[in-house]
Amino acid sequence: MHATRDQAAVRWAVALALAGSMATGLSAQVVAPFDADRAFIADETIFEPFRVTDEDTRPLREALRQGVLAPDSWLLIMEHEAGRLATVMDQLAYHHVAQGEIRGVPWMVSF
Amino acid sequence: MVCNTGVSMTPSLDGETYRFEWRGLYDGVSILWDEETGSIWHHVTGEALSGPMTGRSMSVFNLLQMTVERALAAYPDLAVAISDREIRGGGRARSVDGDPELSDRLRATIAAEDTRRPTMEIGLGLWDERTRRYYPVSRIRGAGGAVIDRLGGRTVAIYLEPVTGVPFAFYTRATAATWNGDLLELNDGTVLRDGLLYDAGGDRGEIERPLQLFTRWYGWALMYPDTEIWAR
Repeated sequence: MHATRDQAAVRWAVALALAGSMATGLSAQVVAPFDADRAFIADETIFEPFRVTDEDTRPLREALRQGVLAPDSWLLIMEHEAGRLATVMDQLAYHHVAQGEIRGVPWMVSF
Repeated sequence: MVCNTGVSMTPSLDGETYRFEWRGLYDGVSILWDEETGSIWHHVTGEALSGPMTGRSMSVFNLLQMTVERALAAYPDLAVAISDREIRGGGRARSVDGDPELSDRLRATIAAEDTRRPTMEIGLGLWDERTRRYYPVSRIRGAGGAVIDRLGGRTVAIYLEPVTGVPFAFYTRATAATWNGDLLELNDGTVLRDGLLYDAGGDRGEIERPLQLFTRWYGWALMYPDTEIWAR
């Protein structure tokens, strides 16, 4: 018997939440102490972060039809507890950070 | 970034959401800064490295790399967020193509490289609470483009997407996987087609993925120096 779309979505969200919590626990165990002498830290950013609003988001199929993206354009697709959303790899190679909310759940992409 | 590494995270802790921006380099990869506390954060592990939030970590989730064509095949209703910045060419990050080198500026942020694999080699890193393991793309290809392995007590399939060559992983109950044209056939009766999993009856199933990072070796090894390297 197959799960309904809602049941599947809940299972997916639970799996993502577990994955996220695992990552949280792991990172603290394995990252070596920070050596500030080796870090390059700028006084201010040179890459404007992408603060995503509803107006920035559209169906991928529509972006393709409008010619904004091509079939071979590369995307970064987050599988986040907030939901699944794509950003454009070439744009994130500049912004490095995209951040927003989906139904009140904050998310961030770091690339 | 030249490391080709990205994740998604939840940028909030204790009910407060933080705003992030790129602020520099460390261990050859980007570091982030938050406006609210001024702390410095690792851009992949989500851990605060310096500042008032030191030691705190954000939850990390997968960030998959696909073309528009492949993404629509797998997720027909997918939405995309597009900024006002010009999109160059096909939009693929230049870091993946060609044979980039680690710049002197990046090298200056690295204490010591792990020389077990070539610095700029591309691979897939998988991790859970106990295990970190790196799968060189060349070895996955050498194994026929698909590998079955164990991770944290579960079985996982690692494969190269046939059109783009990007590696992905998902949990499975199968013990063998073989490419047949564009179909990844698993011996539990399931089939992967266009990034979607179908059961023996042809009905679509859910894909559950372990945490995974499509990355270059140097970045992965510096994040997880105790990493295992998969070999057949």
